[in-house]
Amino acid sequence: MQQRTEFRIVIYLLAILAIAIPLVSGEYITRVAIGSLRYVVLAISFDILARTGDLSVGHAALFGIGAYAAALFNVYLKVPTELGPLVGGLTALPVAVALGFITLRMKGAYFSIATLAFAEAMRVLFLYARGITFGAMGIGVPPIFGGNVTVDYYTILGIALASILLVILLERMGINYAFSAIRENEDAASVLGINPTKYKVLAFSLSALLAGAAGGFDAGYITYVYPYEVFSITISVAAMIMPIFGGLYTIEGPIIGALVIYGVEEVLRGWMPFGYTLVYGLTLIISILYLPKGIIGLIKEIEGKTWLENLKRGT
Amino acid sequence: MSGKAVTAVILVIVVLAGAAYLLMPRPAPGVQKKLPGKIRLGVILPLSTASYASAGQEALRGIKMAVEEINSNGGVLGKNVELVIRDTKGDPNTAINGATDLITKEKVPIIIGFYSSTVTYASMNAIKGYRPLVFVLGASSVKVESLVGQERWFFHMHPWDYHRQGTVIEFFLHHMKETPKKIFVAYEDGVYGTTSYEYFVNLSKKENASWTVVGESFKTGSSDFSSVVLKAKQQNPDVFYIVGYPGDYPVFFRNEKENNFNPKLTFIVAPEFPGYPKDIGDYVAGVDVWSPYLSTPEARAFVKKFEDKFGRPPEYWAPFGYTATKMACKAIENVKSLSKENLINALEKVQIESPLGTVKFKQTGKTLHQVVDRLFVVQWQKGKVVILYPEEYKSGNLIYPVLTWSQRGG
Repeated sequence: MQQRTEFRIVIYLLAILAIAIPLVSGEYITRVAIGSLRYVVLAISFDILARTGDLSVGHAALFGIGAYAAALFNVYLKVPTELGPLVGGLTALPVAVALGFITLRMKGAYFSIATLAFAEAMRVLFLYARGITFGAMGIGVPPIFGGNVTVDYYTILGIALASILLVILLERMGINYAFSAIRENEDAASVLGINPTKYKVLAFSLSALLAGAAGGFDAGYITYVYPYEVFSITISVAAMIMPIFGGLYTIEGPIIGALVIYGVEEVLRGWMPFGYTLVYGLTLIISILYLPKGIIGLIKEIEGKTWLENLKRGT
Repeated sequence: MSGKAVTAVILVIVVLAGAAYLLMPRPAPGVQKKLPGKIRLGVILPLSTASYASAGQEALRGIKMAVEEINSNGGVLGKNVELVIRDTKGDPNTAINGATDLITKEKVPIIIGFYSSTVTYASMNAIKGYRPLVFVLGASSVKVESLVGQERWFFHMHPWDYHRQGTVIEFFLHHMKETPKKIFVAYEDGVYGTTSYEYFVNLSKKENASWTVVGESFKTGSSDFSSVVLKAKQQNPDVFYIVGYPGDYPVFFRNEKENNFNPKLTFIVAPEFPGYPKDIGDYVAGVDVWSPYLSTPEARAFVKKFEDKFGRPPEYWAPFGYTATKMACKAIENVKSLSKENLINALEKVQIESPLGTVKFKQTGKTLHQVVDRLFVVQWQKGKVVILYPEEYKSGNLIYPVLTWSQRGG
C-alpha cells in the first residue's frame, strides 16, 4: 500500500511537470520538450513492433509517410495541419498492413533489411513523383496551431500519452503475451494456437499508427516536408537506439530512453559545441555495451521490479 | 498520508506555483536598457554533421577571424565581441531549438548563420513570431525568399538560385566566342540541384537562348557517376554542366576521363573549392560566388591571413562569415545601440570594404536586404584560376573548346 502511494505521488509529480513545462519555462525548454516527446512516440512505436521480435531499421518510412500525408492533404484537400497527426497515423496504418503481409514472414536480419529498403524506396518515390509530391522542392505547410508553441506542446504530449495508454492496453488485454511468445519462439507460438502473422501485422499496424502520427505532427511543427529529411536514416536510427537504451519490451524504457538521449544531447550541445558528439557517442556505446537491457534493466536489477509492475499488482 | 490528501496537497502547490508565475513581473521582450559588458553575437551553423559541417566550419572560421580582428582593434563601442555558438547538425528540429535558445534565453541582438534552405525555411517559420534580427549566410532557395524576403528583420548574404543561373546564362550567351548549341545538365536530385536545373531551363527560354538543354539527375555522394556520364556522352553536348556538391565533382571528372567523354567544356558550380585533383580538374570552368584569386586589396589581405592561419586558400563560406560579422559590428558601432529597430536601420545603411568587394544591403527580387547578387565565372588553366566574368575582374580568356583527354596526355 505504501509503495502504491509512493508510485501515485511520482506519477502525479511527473504529470504536473509535464503539464507545467510550457507554463513555467521559456519557449526554448518547451521546444526541447516537444522534440523529445516526438521521439517518445517514435520510440514507443519501434518498441511495439520489437515486442514481436522484428526490429525495424527503416522506421523513418512510416514517419515520412505520415509527414507527407499531412502535407499533401493540406495542399490538395485543404485539411488543416492541426489534423496532421490523425491524417498521418491513419495513412501509415494501411501502408503497414499491406507491407506487413509481404515482409513479416521474413525473419531477423531479412526483415530489418526489408524495412531499410522500404524507407529508401519511399524516399526515392516521394523525390521523383514530382507531379504529386513536388519532389525535391519539398512542401511548405502552414504551422500547426498558427505556430503557438504551448498548444503544439500539449498536442504532442497528448499523442505521447495516447501511445503510452495503447501499450498499457496491450499489456492489460494480454496481447503482449502473444507478442512475447512469437518473439521467443515463433514455431512454438503457432503450436499454442497463436497466429504469428496476424499478431505481427497488428503490431506493425499499431507501430505505423504512432510513427505516422508523429510524422503528421512534425509536418505542421517543422512546416516543411522534404524527402531527405523525413525519410532520413537519422530518424530510423534514433527510433531504434532510444528504446534499446531505455529498455526494450517495457512501458517505461522507450520513454526514458527518448527523454534521456534527446535531453542529454541538447544539454551537451549547449555546454560543449565542439566535443559533444564524441562524448555523446561514447556514452551511448558504453551504455549499450554495459547495459544490454537498458536503463530499465538496471533499475530492475537494483529494485527487483518496476513501479508499474507494483501498480499492476496493487502492492 | 492518504492518496486523496496527497492529491489535494499537490493540486494546491500547482495552483500556487501557477499563480506566482503568472503574476511574476517580466521585462518586455527585446527591450535592452543599457549596453552589456560584452557585445554578444549569436551564431548558428551546421558544425557536426559530415555533409554540412565543412561549410559550417568554414563560415565559423571567417566569423572568428573577424571577431579576433575587431577585438584586437578595441572591440565594438569599446567592448569585446563574444560569440554564442549553436550547432544545427543540419537538422531542422535542432536548428529551431538553437535559434529559439539564442533569441529567448541568450537574447543576442543578432543571429548570424544558417546554411541549407530546408533548415533555414523551417527555422524562419518557427521564429518569425519574434521578428528576430537574422543575417542568413546560406539558403539559396526562393522558397525561403518567398517566406521572409520582405521582412525587415531578414538580411541575406548568399545569392538566390536565380542570381546564379542568371550569371551562367549571361556568360554562355554574351561572353563566349561561340554560343553552345547543346548543354547537358547533370544535377543532384535535392532541392538545390533540382531548383537550379529548373531555373536554368526557364531562364534559357526567357532569354530566348538557342541551345538545347538535356537534363539528368543524380544522387549526391555516390562513388561512381559513369551512368550519367555515358548518357551525356551519347548526347554529344558542347557543355557538360554539373550542379552538385564539392565531393561529387572529382568523381565526375574521373568518370569523364575513364569514359573518354570530351565535351567542349565542363562547367560546374563552385569550382574553386580547394583540393580538386589538378590532373583531371584542369580546364574546368564554373560559376562561383567569390574567388580567392580576386586582386582587390581586401581580398588579398583576407586570403593571406587565412592561408597563414590554415595553410590553404579559403572557401567562400569563410569570407561570407567574415563579412557578415564585420557588417553587423559596423552597424552596432554606427548606431551605438543594440535595440532591434535601431540596428535594422543601421544595417540598412552600412557599407564596408570587404573581401567580397564593397558591400551593402540592396533590394533584389523579393528580398529587401540582399548582399551578393552577382557571381563570378572562372576557369582552371594549368593549375591556376583565371577570372572570366565579370569584365571588371577579368584576368584571362576562356579556353574553349578545351583539350581532349588524349591531347592532355597522362
